[in-house]
Amino acid sequence: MCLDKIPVEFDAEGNATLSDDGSETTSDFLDDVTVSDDELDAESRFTAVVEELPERALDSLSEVSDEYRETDETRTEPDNPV
Amino acid sequence: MFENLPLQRTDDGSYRLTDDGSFYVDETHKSTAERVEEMTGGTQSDNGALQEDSAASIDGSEDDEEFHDIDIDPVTRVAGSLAFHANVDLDDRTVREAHAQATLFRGYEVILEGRDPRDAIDLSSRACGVCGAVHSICSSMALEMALPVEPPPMGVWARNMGQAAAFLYDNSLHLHLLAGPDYSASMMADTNPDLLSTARDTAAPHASIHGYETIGDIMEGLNPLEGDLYLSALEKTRDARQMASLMLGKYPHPSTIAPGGVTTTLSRSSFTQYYTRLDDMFDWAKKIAFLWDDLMDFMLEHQPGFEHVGEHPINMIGTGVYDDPDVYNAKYEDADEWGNARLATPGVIINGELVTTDLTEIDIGMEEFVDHSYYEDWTDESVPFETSPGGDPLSPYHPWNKETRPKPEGTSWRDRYTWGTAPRWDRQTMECCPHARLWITALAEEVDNPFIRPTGDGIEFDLPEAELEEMTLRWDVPDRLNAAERLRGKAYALAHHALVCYTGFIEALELLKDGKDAVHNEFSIPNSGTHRGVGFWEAGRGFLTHHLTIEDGVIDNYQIVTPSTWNSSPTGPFGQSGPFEVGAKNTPILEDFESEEDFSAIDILRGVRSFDPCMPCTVHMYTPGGQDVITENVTMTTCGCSYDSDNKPAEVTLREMLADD
Repeated sequence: MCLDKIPVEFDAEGNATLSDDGSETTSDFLDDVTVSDDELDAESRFTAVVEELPERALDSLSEVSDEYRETDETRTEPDNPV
Repeated sequence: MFENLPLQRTDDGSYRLTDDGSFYVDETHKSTAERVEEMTGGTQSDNGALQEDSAASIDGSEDDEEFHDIDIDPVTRVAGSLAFHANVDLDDRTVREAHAQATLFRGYEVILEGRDPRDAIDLSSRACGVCGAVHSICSSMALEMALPVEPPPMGVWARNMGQAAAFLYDNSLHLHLLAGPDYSASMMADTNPDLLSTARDTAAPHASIHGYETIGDIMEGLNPLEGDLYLSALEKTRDARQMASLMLGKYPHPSTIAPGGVTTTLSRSSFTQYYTRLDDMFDWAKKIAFLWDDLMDFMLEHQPGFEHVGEHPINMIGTGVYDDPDVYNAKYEDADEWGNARLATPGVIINGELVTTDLTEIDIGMEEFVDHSYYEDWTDESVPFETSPGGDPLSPYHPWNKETRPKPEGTSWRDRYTWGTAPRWDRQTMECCPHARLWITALAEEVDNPFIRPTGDGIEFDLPEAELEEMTLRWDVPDRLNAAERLRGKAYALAHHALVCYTGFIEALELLKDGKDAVHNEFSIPNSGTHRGVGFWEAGRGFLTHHLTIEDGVIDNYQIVTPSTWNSSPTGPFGQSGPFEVGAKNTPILEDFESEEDFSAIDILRGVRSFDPCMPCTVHMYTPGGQDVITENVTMTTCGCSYDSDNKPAEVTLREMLADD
């Protein structure tokens, strides 16, 4: 079996079937990008997203956010801004 | 600006026709008869493409033992509507003649005529199953201009983030599953065994980053279906498509794309799941850039002549991609401003020089010709539009004036042989791909972003820490355009895409913090009058336009120009072959072979595949029963939605194709 995340198995003739062994079921495979509505307003969603980010990402993001804002403020505005 | 079109710039920056100027291609240009004369009786070109006595063999009407006709179909490794014909002198190790043939009529232009404009987004999306969001987005942008409607900032960033993720998938797929196997150990063992031995003894300079100790290890990793690099890439394509799905609802063919933004529900978990995968992509981008540097530098150093494989003049075109919502307003008259604010700059490079970054100049310089295609010329009727929405003159061969008139007939390499057309800018051939996107962005120095810094002679990419430490990658503008630089450029493009995802993530958080989470603005379809729009976006391979005309509420004309239309172009009315064909003709035969039977044409394939020909259409699907899994179509109709007659599973088909290669 050459695909270790995708739950597909090939038989000797090359026919592909969904794997039914192991913990990863068809449902797991299809559900792993399922997104449910959080019923949060935008500001609360911001807080919730930040809370769920890994610490390394938070450190990195807070560093670059400052840098990004600085760049944004010095950005030359077009002659005909929208 | 324009050297060949009859256009003159006025003092106010607009264009007018030159005195007595005309766009029409008439007897003053090379006729088909003259071109045939050149092909069959002309003198030998510098690259040995044509010889005095080549007429019979080009036509295939007589055997010529000196020369070897090669027909490769499909060219891509999945399935194919691109075939390639070449005539090779095996003694001289040169390619004498080459023809790229699009074997299927896709016909979206005809399908869309008379339909509700909203249908264009979903139907045109099916033009490609690999780049299955680019056409939806490009179509929605054409509609945004025609209606008009402007998306809110979060809608623009969702589009950018979804697209950048899709490109992470698309470019990884091409590098490691489609082009990469040409450099795999299993392929090299057949075609370049001495080179493989050298590779196994050559340390990879950046082993500490990508983990492959020798160049031979990289080649082993690229072995189809079993190499660990091949399999890692396969899983990365899955992760990147999931990222695209999180922003666009599903992939390919997202149903959330609409004029005025997207209709995706972006909840807390959309962003957190997106970032989790992006974190991994930072390291993937670091590894892949250094890995392809090592592999291509090895090939260039140890395979004399490899620098000519797929070589093409440095003429490139791109429409740019990734909008800044503070500047993008969907208006044609402001297209130069919003185009130049993109995170990948639009532009045209001719002979290595950047000649424009303005979308309106890119637009008015475009023409499409059908002299060697299975279409009739349409310019016998009066043109619908003599000028662009900005008032600049438009050629009758411009997409807004084009009418698709299919005329299927037999294949003749001298006359008509492809369903592809011959797009030209200022009547010159252009190529496009991610390397063109980087090249134009580097030279233009328009991008203002803390992580993506064009320097005039390259681009620096600051990739943040993930499992690997933070790194600055630098892509340098190459001094020639060939297979090696196309693949290297595509590898570095992953860093660009990942940093667009990163920029989008930060911008999205800022918008959430400010309470600006709207992703869509309402629009309405005008039920009377004439309305024009054009979408300027890019596919995984670069340049993409959709030109649309709405008449009394329905589509009157719809014209798509894809990157592969440019790259696979046949000869145009001014005698120039397209990039695939020129690249093949410049390719020396480097492979080891004892006899004609051993000849595999791998060098020609390496050249053509380096362009990432986007001509296949495959369908992988789960059957309703839920247990039988994958069906892939190989024989295709218009957009390829039919089953293989043998109903073979994908693995079998893929193995057979690889074996055939």
